Amino acid sequence: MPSFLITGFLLLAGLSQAVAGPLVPRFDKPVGGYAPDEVLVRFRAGTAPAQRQQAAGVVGIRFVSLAPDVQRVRLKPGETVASAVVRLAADPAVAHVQPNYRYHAALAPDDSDYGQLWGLNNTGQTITGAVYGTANPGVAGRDIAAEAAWDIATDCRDAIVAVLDTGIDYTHPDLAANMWDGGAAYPNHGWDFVLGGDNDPRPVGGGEHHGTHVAGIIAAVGNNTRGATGVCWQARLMAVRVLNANGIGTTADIIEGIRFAVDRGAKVINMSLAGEGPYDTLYAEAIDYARQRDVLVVTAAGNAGVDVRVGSDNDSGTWIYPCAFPHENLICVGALDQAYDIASFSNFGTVDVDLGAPGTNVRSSLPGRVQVDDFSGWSPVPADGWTSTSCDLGNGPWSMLVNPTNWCPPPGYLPSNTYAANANDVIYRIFNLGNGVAAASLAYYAVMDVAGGDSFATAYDANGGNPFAGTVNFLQAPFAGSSLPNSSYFEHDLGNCLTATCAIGFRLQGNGDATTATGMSIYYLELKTLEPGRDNYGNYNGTSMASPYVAGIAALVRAFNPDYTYADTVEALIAGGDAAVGTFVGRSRTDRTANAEGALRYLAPPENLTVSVR
Amino acid sequence: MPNARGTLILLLPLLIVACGNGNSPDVQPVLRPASPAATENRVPGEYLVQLRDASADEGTIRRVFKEFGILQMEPLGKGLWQVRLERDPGPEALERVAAGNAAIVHIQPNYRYRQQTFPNRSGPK
Repeated sequence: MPSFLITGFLLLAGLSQAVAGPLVPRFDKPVGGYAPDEVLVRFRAGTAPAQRQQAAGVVGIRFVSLAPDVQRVRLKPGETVASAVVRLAADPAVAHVQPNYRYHAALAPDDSDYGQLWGLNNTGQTITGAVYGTANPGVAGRDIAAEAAWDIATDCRDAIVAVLDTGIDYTHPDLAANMWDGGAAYPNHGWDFVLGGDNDPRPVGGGEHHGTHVAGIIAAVGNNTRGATGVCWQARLMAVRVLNANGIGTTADIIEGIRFAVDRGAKVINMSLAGEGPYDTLYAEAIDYARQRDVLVVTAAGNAGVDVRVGSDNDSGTWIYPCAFPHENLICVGALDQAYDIASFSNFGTVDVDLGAPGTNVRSSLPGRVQVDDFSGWSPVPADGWTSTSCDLGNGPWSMLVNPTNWCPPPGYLPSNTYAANANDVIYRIFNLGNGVAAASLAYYAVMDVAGGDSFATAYDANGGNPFAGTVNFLQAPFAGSSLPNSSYFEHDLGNCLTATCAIGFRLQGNGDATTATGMSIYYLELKTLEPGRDNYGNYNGTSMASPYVAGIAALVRAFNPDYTYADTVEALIAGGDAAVGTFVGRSRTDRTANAEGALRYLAPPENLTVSVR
Repeated sequence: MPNARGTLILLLPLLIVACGNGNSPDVQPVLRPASPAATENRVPGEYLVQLRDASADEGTIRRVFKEFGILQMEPLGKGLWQVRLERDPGPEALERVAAGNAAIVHIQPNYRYRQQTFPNRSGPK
């Protein structure tokens, strides 16, 4: 478009002004549609003024010259832009005709990690610290169009969002200002329904990062120069803890959580959780309880990579819930990668999955640190038992600890070398879990093949020595067995090792008998800490991450127009979405992906509804 | 396997190929990491019971479930109770119990649901 034709006006009046820092205006997107009663016309060079007047006069009543051959034409009453463009284009005096597009500032926040938030603004950036290897970088422009949406609204405070999850670190510097004020009855911004319940829904274990991450996707404070940006810059987040330290919740806890949120004014509930089983009647009734009170529920499709109506058990009668519930107030969200293909793990379904949203390499707030160990700095005792190495198991190299030292099989094969019959091999490393760490957890995967009578064990020493010297503090008591050809997952609480010299070690012991067992490999060892009040962030994958994008958009829509019902909001989310692309095509009931701008712009009112335009 | 959080299912189907060449190693399935194992989809011994009379007291629950031994019961409001049984007869048996008792509208297991994050599948490289 020639620059002299950019005559649109700025819609700065549409911007929410409750932001902390300076705004960065840009003028690069025709995000504002076009003036409904104007067109721009360029006449062919040399046409007579009378010819021009005759052509423009067919559709227009007022004419302003913008350049020697260019006129801005105000249309007659009843004349639409579309009809005027068609009629003028047919006139031989006209070289070009187009709508008078509107341009205005695309609002980009100043948060320090904003450049990594591809789901909000996909520039084709490479995500650092990626936890999903495919499509990094992805495809520029494939995102929820957050910047264009923020030109319309950033403030979700008129629509309380309940996060039913592992709790929220409400002291996190990027969340604290956006927590729901529960008054004296709920001084900690929500309720904890796990294990009898109390009024403090913050995470209590090192592994409980999930809810805080989800909350940040919805509403990490925007434009505060700090960390992440939520879909909502300002919000009221209600923390409802229904998942325990292992990220597992029950029907009982969840339905109590739903009732709590609904009864205290939530307009949107996010549930980044799923389970496979038979129809859960009472859970379904709780979602209907929300429907009757005009509350929208957004949930994750699940991470088994299957059709939600087939499930992992190959359709033996169990489906993935809550995604497969039929409620009209339920939106189920699948996960997309940075190219907007369906993520490898994401469930799908042409009946139940409503939308796709970003779900890989999603950076957001965390209640502590996540440290994936690279297996350097480990001390083997003796030196020839365990070793740190890199193995290709058939899907690329993995760093790992192995015993025997020649454990690595060729790609695609199982290990075949055996460990020493008289092995008494330890390997350990010291981690710093002091300086304000409130809790910590250790998780790792292992391929295990240990003969009966031999053993594998895990232990710690808070003072930094060999954990298996002297009195042993076991995290995993000695045991034998084989996981082959699979891997096993271990998780341990490090609550008794919160020191700056926390040594964690593994031991493989033989009883002297010759064995054909192939020993151990330990990989993807992850330490998670809980450090309330600190500015921590990290990348996660999951439909758990996709769901809160949609919950955030729903909150934007409902806050922008408080008259909207859940049904109006669902309609806006679906109708305002983008057409699915790539491998997400055919994987949902709508073939659409979430678009915040589209959902907000879909505020064209249904009948008998008044829209607030700010 | 004590304390291990379950054995994981290999994502690729088990592939067994008989090799005619005795010098070739057997083709084995590729080892791949999997997500933490899905646990049983219900809490063993725990059930949710919807009573017809929302004001009914725990005596109703005690009478219905006495034969299975009640370890714990908790009202969840609106006539809904959470019950933990010492001897779990299984959902089907309890559905039959409910069908024969006019005081009970519905009984079901206390199902489990899990957060939906996904571990690093590509792995550190």
